[in-house]
Amino acid sequence: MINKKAQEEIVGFVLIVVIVSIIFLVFLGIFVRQQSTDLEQQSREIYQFLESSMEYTTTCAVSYEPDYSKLGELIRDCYSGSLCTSGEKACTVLNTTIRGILDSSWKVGPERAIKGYSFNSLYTTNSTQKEILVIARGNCSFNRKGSEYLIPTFPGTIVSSLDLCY
Amino acid sequence: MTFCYVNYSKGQMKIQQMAFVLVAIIIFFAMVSLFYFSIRVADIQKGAVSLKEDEAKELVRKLSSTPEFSWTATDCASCIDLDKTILLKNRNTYSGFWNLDYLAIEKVYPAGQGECTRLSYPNCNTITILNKTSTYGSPAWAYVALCRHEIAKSAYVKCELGRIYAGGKGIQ
Repeated sequence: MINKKAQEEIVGFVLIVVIVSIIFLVFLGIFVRQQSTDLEQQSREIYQFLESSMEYTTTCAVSYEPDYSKLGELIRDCYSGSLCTSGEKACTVLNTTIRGILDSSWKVGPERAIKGYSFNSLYTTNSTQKEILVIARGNCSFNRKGSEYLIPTFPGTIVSSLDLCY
Repeated sequence: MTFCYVNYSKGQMKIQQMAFVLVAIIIFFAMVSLFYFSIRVADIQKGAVSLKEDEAKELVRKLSSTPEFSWTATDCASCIDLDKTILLKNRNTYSGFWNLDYLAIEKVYPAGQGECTRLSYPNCNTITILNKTSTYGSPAWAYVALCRHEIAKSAYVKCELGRIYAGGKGIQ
């Protein structure tokens, strides 16, 4: 009789522990899911930055001066391996210009709110993907916020993306 | 001296025990719920602040497409005509036009130096169009392209990267 009572108590205790564990797991699941959606947020601010930057007039004219390429056009020129009238490679001017724009716009450092950034330009078609430019600075293992800007380039598209790491 | 003994039956004890367990479980669930909802409310508040900031940025960005600022030479939604903007500076007729206390345009890349005047333009950094009061708070801002006609060997359109700042009732 005593044994049966003890068994009942143990069953009750186990039941409570199981219920509490299930509730804890549910909350943990919700919390982790929320964090993973925060990890890569689309940012309107970064899209505005990319859109405005693509209009920037560079110092590279591919056909004649003063028909200087915009940054968006220069990414295309770099992909096609063009040379500027000054003799410089389009990719060299592109690299210098984008670094300058990024460093002026986003102050990065371990003691700052933005820990790092990474800029990528890729040419993509349905079947292929080719890297045009990759620039990264600082530590990018934290939460990210980013956006993409598309430049149609027949038959594919140039996808320029910027991720800021917080 | 008389002593009163109250005899609780075994059943009563069981009921009491169960009641205590039930109360404990309810308190536990209440605490967990409170903890969960406090986290949720904090997240929602954070989201609301972020949405408000985004909305303010969009409103500021919309200013760049108004006829007073827009660059009409090509189809560019994010471009501001800097030549028009310098002409708006110190125009008193526009002081109540936007319902704003602060409106300014700043070059980001390449950065210039100092406030723009008609003499220093375009080799300057900031064009302050409105600055009615110092209590407008932290102004909302958005990235824009600042375009103007550059005359070197021959004329061409030159666009630089900048920010438009706006503060006041029209933005809140």
